[in-house]
Amino acid sequence: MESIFRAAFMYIFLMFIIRIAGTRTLSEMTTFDFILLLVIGDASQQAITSNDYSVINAVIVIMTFILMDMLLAYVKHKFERVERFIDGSPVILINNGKKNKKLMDKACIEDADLLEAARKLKGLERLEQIKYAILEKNGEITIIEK
Amino acid sequence: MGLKKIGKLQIEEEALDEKTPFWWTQKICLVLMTLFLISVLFGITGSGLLSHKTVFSSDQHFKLVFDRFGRNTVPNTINILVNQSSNIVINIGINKSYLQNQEIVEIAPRPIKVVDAGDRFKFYFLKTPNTTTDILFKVKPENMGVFKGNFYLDDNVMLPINQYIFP
Repeated sequence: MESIFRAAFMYIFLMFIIRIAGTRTLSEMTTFDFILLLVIGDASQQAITSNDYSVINAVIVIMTFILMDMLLAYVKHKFERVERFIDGSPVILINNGKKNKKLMDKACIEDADLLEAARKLKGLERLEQIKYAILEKNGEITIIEK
Repeated sequence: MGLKKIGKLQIEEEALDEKTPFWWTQKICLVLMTLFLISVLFGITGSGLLSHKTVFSSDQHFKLVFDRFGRNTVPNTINILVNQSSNIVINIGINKSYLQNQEIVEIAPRPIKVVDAGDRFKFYFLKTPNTTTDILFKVKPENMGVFKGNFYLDDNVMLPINQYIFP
């Protein structure tokens, strides 16, 4: 019984904390971020399993995670507000060739990040060549050239 | 199932009637998983309403409270209640076949002595006459499956214990 509550609590807590961290954390992962994720995983594992290393406990925890994930997907599908709260929404960083500095600062995106995405995705050389740059919900930057 | 062409798009696509059985299987599995987790909440894998079991002697002076479901390597408690005995020292016998797959992690209160008596171990405890004595055994299963055993009070009253330990 305790395993279900532990797993459910950690699922909600992790979802909340990752949301707070922002979308950029997921896309622009540095070596330190990777280590941080490993540490978070290890700490979560200890919190979820406690001292119960039985197979049945692992089964219960996995089932709880899967069901919570499916339930959340259903709720997000039914209620757009919930989806927007949990997944966020795309942010337009360059709108019709015009940079939105305020949004870029909020999302911690530098010009260099935009140029990197522009080079990778479209082979562009300068910021002026970008018509739209969008920070997507999954943390990736989409580039639409002029 | 091969590559199909839908307009200009070449795609490996299953026909809808091939997908339907999988969707049904998925739904059935989800329902089963939900039912399983509900039963876990009620204690089907230990510590809950369905798991707690109490057995007592006909005169109700000797009572055992334990979990009928447990988990391998996770300690569970067996509560022994003895009342209205005028003896100052009582002994609780537990047969060896029950203890052979378990490690005793804790006994509270501590027994004054433990004796190997053939098919069982006897644990001797001090008792205040005519009061209820509460003895707690914390045992850690080191195996899985059905664990059957008997608990004896002063070599004459016997209560059975039957547990299923999940892997």
